[in-house]
Amino acid sequence: MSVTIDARGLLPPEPMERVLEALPALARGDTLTLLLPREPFPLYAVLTREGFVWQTRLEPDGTYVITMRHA
Amino acid sequence: MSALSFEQAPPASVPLRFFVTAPFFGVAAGLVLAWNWQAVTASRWAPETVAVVHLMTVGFMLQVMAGALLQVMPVAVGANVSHPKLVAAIVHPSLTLGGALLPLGFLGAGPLALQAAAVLLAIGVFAFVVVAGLALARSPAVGPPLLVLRLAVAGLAIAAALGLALVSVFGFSLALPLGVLIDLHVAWASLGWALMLLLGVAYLVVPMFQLTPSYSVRTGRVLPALLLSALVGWTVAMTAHLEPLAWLSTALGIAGVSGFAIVTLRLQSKRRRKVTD
Repeated sequence: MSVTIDARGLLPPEPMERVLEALPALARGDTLTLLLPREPFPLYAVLTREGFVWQTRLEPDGTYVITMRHA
Repeated sequence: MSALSFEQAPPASVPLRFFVTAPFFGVAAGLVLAWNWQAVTASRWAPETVAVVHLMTVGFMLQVMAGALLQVMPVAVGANVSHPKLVAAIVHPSLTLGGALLPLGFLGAGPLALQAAAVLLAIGVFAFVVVAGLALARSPAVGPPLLVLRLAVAGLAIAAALGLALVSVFGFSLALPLGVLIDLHVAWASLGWALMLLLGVAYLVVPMFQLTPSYSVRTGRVLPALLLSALVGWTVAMTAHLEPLAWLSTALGIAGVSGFAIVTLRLQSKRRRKVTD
């Protein structure tokens, strides 16, 4: 299953809070996708520590698409 | 799930010392203006004018910009500064003492003040450029903000090198083309460093805090390309006395600056958050 959080209209730190709420419910093999107008380096540090891996893609409109899953 | 992580950010004391020092330079600029505003308003070349300009740009702006960059580079573009306390311990006193001696030298304290300012500012600025440059070179970030921050730090290095050449004219009596050096110093400091940094920071904070759509990737690359083309064009045109190239470069610079303003205003008109802040 794939869950998407469009955080482009949210003020910090709400995007990070939404992701931190959603990650514990993420099953192995599932993906969590975050849409954000910037690259979330503080989130990357949390993901590394908590055993998740991610891929980041930059869309032509400037949206960063971060896809996360269990390592 | 653990809460927010601030382990990437340097200790608060690193940026804070720059932010605490900067306002004193603003006060000093105000005192020079109060002491002799007639000279400042009369001529760009008056010693008081040059002193006020550098109290504001080197004393105030450079302090704040250097401190803020050390603070935000890790979280904004994943550019981690190694040994931030040591870096701050070298950069901050050099910028502070050099930033104080430079205007004193302009105001008649003599060549020794200018020579000492040149050495101190060279240490402070180039230590910062090397550290920030290395951090940005190693950053894994993708997209225009990283590109623009790299260009800004390169712009600072060029502006500072031109400034040192200028101080050498006054402080060490070297024979260099003064007018050309001054124009290029101003151009690289204002467009190559200050505006380029503003551009990179705007890419990050305008969508983040004003909840506008993002700057598109194409816009994010075209705007710094226009500014850089203008600066390189001006540099070649002024050193080789090529007037048509100077005009073309001016047009590119105007396109870059006005393009940044127009794009930003358009994004702000489409903001998702409709409440006036």
